[in-house]
Amino acid sequence: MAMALTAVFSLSAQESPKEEDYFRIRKVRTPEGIILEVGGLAMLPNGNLGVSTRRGDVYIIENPTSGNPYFRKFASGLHEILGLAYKDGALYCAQRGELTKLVDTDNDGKADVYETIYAWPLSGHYHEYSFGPIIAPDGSFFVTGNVAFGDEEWWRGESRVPWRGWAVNITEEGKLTPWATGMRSPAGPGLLNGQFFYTENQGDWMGSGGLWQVNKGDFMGHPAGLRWAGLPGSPVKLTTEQFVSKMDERRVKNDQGRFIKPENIINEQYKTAFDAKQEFAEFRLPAVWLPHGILGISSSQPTVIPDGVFGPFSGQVLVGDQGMSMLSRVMLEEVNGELQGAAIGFRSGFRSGVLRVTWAPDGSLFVGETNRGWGSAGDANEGLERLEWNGEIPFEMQTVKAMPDGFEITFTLPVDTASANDLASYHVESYTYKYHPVYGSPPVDMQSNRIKGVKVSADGLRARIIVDSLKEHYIHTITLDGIREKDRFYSLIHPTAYYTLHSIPQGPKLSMNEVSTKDSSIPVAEPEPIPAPEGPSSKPAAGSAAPVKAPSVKAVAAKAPTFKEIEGLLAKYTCIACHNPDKKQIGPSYKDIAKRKYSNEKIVELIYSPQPANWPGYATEMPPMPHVPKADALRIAAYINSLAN
Amino acid sequence: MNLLKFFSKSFAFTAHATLLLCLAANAQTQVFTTPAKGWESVGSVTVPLSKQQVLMTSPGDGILVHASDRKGRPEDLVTAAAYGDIELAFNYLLAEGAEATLYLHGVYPVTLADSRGVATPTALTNGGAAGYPPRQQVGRAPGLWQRMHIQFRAPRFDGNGQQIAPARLLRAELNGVIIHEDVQLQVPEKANGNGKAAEPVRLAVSRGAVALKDVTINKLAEAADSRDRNGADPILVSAQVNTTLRSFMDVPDGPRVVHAISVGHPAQVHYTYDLDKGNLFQVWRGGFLDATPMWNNRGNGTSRVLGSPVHFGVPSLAVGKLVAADNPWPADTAGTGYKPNGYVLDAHDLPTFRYVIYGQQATDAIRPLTNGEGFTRTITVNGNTDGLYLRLAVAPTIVDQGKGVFLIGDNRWYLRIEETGKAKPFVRDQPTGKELLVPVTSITRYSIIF
Repeated sequence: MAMALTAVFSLSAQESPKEEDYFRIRKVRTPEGIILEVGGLAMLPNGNLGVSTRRGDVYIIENPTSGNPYFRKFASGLHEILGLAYKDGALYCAQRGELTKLVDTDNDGKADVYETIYAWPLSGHYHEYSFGPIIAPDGSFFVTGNVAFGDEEWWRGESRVPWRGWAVNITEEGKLTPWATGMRSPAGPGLLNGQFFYTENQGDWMGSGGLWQVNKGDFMGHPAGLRWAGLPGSPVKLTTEQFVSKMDERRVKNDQGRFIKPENIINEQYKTAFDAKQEFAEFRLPAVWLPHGILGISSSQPTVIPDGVFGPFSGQVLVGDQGMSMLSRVMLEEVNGELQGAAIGFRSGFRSGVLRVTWAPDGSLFVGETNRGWGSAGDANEGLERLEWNGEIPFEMQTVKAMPDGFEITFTLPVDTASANDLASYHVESYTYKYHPVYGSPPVDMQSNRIKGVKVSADGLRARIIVDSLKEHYIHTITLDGIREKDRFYSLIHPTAYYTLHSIPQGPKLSMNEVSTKDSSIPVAEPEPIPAPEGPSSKPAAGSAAPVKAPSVKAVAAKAPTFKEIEGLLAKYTCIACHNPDKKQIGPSYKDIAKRKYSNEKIVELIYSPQPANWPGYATEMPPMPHVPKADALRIAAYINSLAN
Repeated sequence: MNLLKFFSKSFAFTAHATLLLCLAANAQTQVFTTPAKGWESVGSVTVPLSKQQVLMTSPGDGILVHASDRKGRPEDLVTAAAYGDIELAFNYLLAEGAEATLYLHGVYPVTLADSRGVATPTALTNGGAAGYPPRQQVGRAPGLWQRMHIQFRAPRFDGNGQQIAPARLLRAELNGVIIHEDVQLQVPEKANGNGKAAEPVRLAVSRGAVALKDVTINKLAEAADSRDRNGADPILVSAQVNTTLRSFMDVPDGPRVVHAISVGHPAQVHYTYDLDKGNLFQVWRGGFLDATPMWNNRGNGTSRVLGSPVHFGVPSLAVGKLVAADNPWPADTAGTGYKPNGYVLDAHDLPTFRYVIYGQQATDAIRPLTNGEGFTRTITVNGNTDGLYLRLAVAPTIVDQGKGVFLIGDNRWYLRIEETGKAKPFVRDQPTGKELLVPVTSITRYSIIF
């Protein structure tokens, strides 16, 4: 209880509380020398935790939530295990090349049977990782497999052998059934309420990461696996030929006969994933997009929050992210038969890349981490941590639901009605992604949606907004910066939710006479003589000079911005998801970029059309960011170049 | 019975004197001053596995041999020319218990010895050099060819014959594995550091039978230092206890084996098994594995052998069905119904592999021999084995030494049949070379000695 009291006390400070004031990251004490590059986690019925690692070991941890966990090495020598599951007294894991059953038949605490349930082909390409298994309700297994990449076309995902780029179903007896294809890097298979889902990250044909439901016969969008659609047992009927007859793969060669890497074309007629769905019946749209750079860059395992756990969020979905070392929360709903919903930040600050999660019997969440080869916001190479809720209710959007004329947001705590009745407290924008063979997509067709009215429930727990020009299949960015909690005027911990609106529900719309249309932003206030620092929580760093009053706008423009001044832009355009001023993260540090002595204009060019070949030491490509307005891009460039000395 | 014959003809051993910044001079000169007492030139050498101290020869040219101590220790072999910085390479073969020392620049010793069973290597272990034990013990069994490849930088002297820079062993590779790299060599006590920039190379045999071939001495080219000082920290996997590790494994002239498992043993003999074929494809002595390619950064999924492997050719099936005895060996698993079942670890964590082929359940257990000289492999097949054969070896030459012993390749490894029931192993000719087959019975056991 002392802990909770401390938390409450700390909340009485001026700032609104943050994620860490409710959800604490706890370490799991690990003996020196054990490298937990976690590839899989499995909770055993007896409360022990199974952990599989990229180094090929399987540990069983006794008393894993205690202060004194005990590690047993259960198995070793396996090939880059990226999953772990328990069933009927055995552990199952996907190695690169097979699904393996591990059994301890002589009760010495170590597996002695390493049984191959099914071995699938591989070409031997480094990127041919395999993930799982996920145990289906009927006891069979789902495994997903990465594509390889081309040799000359090193940017293009390709499926060199069956069933790369597929999800497959395997029975205990070793019968394989191809299940679905179109996967590129399916690192996050999961079972949500008995249904098979997976997460994927941005790449060629994948505009951004997202969460997909996977039904038998689905095509998730990456064409490589279609190569095997004609094999016996394939439930996918779409062929590569049919695909390329409708979609331009952009296999273009230059004068020397070398393939040209497809780059984003800023002004073009593009197709979206929804356009592809119109062409191909098997095409499966993500239930929710996880906007790249905001809610992750390399989505990982999803999990349903069990009943009675994590307070107001029971039943919702958490999705991990490796590169941003974070968890996002997804609120799914079915509208007109389409699964869709909102995604929102939940908890960041894990020590390494979040790959796997599993629930402990005490209601905390084990988080298995690794970043080797890709980097992550948390700069440790690996880790096993535990996320614990302290029982206090954070001020958050509890749910976001689509309405015939907008959205309805419920809150975990009553809102201050004055702020909630003010249209200026709400902002909605919409955009979508391109469906193309370029690595990732910038947000395109971005527009601001006018808020026409809001109706706040009497208990202050619900606000329904009327939003103009809703667009099906677009992501709607719903920002509630102005909303305050009723008693303590806290801001929302996560003020922005991203709703992937596949289908607008039917039903009664609000009438204008039952909503508030007050908008404090319309009668323009007297202009402030000195611009105040942006945002409710920003404050000058201790010891820093007071903001210099700008004598003229021109002078300000000429001077390179400081990190404090540029931080807002870097966050807005998701730069800080991957770049840090001083240290290598997913991408190079700004200092290292400054050393290249690009002109500001060249940096802008590179923001719009990144050249990953310039940075061979970095695994993850930067997607094109042409949506950053030139003036802002130039300011970012000026900031970067100011670090050159 | 081993008949020794002495020939007094000039040897075919040559040196390629490659001149710096110059036309490649390929002047053939004689390496060693011959004749030398106790040495002869022969066409082939063989050590019977049943009598390993004996070195048998057959007439011919190309191999310089001291075949027996019966007439006393041989004269030292001394190169006809004197050398400064050199690149020296040769193949050598020792009978059981043989010991010899190669003296670089006339004084810096490199040990060539039968060092089987040596637990802790010293400078007097096979490959040890002037105070330095070899980094790894990668020697071969008596009777098998080994290769030494040395890059040596001679000491430097001023005009008064005073040493101003010590000699360096820039690199020594034994059987393809670096056992020394850029170590400074002290002039041994009692040795005569005579201040000469060039000295002959000398080989002294102190004990037992020794054969040499393919000796080349080149003037050492000035090597540019291209070593990457920013490379990854190595991630090495040792086998202090029985250790298994799966990875991709590349084999020379073969495909990348994608379902490979390597098994390491404290006896420092190790092997890799292809789970896609149910077969062993390499064995080695020395360090176990370098996992850096797999575990540094993203990695490429492969590990590399640290020691010196004996490859058994492109990975292929161990068990095959031949309708007629001259049918070619099956190229792959198509039509065999091959299905891997994984493995079971015994009380010592050693695996027995299991698979189904042609509808029959097979097991395959490969265990190190107690003296570390190789492995014994036991294959069982349950059920109907009609028409099934085991291919035990494939090589350009396979020589039946009698009593179930076969010498495989050009003195590359020995195979000793331990148990085949009533089945008789036989060697057959195929376009690719010789194959040693045996009809499958319920149990087959043989040893691999290398």
